[in-house]
Amino acid sequence: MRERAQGLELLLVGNPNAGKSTLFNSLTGGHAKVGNWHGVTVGELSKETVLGGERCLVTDLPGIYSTRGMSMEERSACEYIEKHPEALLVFVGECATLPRALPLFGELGKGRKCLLVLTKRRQFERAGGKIDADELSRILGIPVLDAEGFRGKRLKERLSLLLKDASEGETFSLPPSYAPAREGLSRADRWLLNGFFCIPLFFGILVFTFWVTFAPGLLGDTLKSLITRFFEETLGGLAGKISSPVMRSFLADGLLKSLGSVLCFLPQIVLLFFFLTVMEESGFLSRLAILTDGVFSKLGLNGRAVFSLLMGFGCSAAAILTTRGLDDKRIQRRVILCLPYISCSAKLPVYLTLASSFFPDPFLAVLLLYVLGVGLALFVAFFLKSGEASFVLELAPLQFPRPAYVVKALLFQVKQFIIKLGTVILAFFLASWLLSSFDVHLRFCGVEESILARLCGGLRFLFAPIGLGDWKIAYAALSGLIAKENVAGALGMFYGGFPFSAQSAFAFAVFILACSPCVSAIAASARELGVKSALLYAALQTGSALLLSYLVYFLLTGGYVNFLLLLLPVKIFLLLGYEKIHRKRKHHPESLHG
Amino acid sequence: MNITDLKRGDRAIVSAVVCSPRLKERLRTLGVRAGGVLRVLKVSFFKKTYLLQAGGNRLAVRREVAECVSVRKV
Repeated sequence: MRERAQGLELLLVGNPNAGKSTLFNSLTGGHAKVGNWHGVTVGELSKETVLGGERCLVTDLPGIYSTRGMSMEERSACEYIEKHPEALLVFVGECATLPRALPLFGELGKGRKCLLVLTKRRQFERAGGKIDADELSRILGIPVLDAEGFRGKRLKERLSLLLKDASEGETFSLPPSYAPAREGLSRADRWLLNGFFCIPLFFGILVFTFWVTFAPGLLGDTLKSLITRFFEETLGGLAGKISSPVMRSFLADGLLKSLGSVLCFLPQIVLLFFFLTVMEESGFLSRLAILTDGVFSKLGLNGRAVFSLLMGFGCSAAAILTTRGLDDKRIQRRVILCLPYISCSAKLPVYLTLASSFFPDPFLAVLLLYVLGVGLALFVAFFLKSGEASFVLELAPLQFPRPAYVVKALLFQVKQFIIKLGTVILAFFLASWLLSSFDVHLRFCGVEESILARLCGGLRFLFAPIGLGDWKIAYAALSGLIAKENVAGALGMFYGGFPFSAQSAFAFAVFILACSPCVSAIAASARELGVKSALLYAALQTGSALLLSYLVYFLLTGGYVNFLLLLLPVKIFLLLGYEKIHRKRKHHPESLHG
Repeated sequence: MNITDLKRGDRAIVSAVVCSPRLKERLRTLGVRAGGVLRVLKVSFFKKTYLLQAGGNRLAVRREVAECVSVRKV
């Protein structure tokens, strides 16, 4: 728990999607997740900053519609406000939704010092609305800051000036000059809310994203090739000149092959995040949620799950946290169980390493795996379906993605990736290299005589049924529990690629797709579902992933013959069982089907 | 009569909202409350989801939620 700063504490309070996290980032230089979606912020986030020469602790809270809220995050935000009675409330209100936000502010601001920050004024006025911040301030009796056009330092300065004037509000009602925005749907929305246009558009965007990112010769592949060449030719060439075999092995195998196998995919990961961020910023996701709610209801989910599922393409752990925005615990549980099957960006290096073994075109291979993952996720949701939940979603405004925010989000992802590579992943590869390069007497040796071979030799049976009876494969697969990128790095370190059959490669890819997520995602699940449940689900997912990979390999190597042979006993069993039941109950077919 | 009996473009006054307290509160904060005016902006193809304008708010509700809101067409 963060200690309160010696000084002012500000709580950013408001409806979802009002701009609280954007304000938080401007005031603190922080990296709270922003997006044009109701429910992006799912937990409290605090950071110290200096406002008006005074140290302050600024806390970003999840959005609140009402103090008698429906969602988990609303309740958690209200509890936080109650537990910090001395904190100054900074109400963040979107101009268009002020009529509903003001009564909430009045309720929360009773007996507390507060001020109001207005957001999205330009958008509101373009839609025909009118608001006068000064008049509003006079009626409310608290300082009102129009944040339009102010960013970073200038916004901080403006807010600092108003802090000392923060006071208890008088009447939280609208000024007479306030005029609401035009009703109805814009022309763009008439298209985007048409399922026959929007759904194909969405799939088109996805396919285009995959094509630009993975197709040979295009942007993602070109950038990846540049990095791979740099590691293999430039750095690998330098490492090859080192005379000491231990040092040479350390640099070439321990560092370059393993790190290079992961780092080369960074451009493709960034491209994927770029498209996800643009979709998120534009307001497209909320339209997609509305259009897909009907389909999701058949799976026991609701349209809000679209956001979490799409975030799963970026990072499973972050996607699990977004499930707090779902109003129903049952739906949250189901979505969390589906998310491991949505291929996160960390699995990308593994897929691309394996893909070249079974598909000449990596674009098609990765597309297939992603589609398979989504199919599995929806199947799991359907399998776990029990009852229906309600669906109420506010439509986010459509906006052109703000380039500054997109760039900032991407740079943050790159930074996080580099930090992860330089810490968790590097530590794993160094440990792996040490254990695989020295024997029990600490003599430099080949991998089969190493400490690691001694420790993990027994694992060779794990993937033997899919033609991979090598302990190094099992070690690589299990290393994915720490971070999925480790799998690609371990394969790179041990093999330099994947020198096995196409069927084995695909079956192994299916295992990676369906197995438990990394420890970060398991920890996120544990926070939402409890430690025992999270560990149980992880174990079940890994076990079922193993069986699924065996089945896939069986079907791929035996072909249709094996598939029919598999079906035959099932059909016979069902037939026998049907006849037996009818005979036992002395049923006459005519009376059943007449 | 409830929201599901309305067509796209129809305006109506809400007579009553009969559902769980939490859902009722969420609808209230989004402008769907007794005495309030709403307009149906769009109905999904299989009539599973309804997009409404209520006050300054645009919200989508599932059919089962729409059935909880009794209205009087204007």
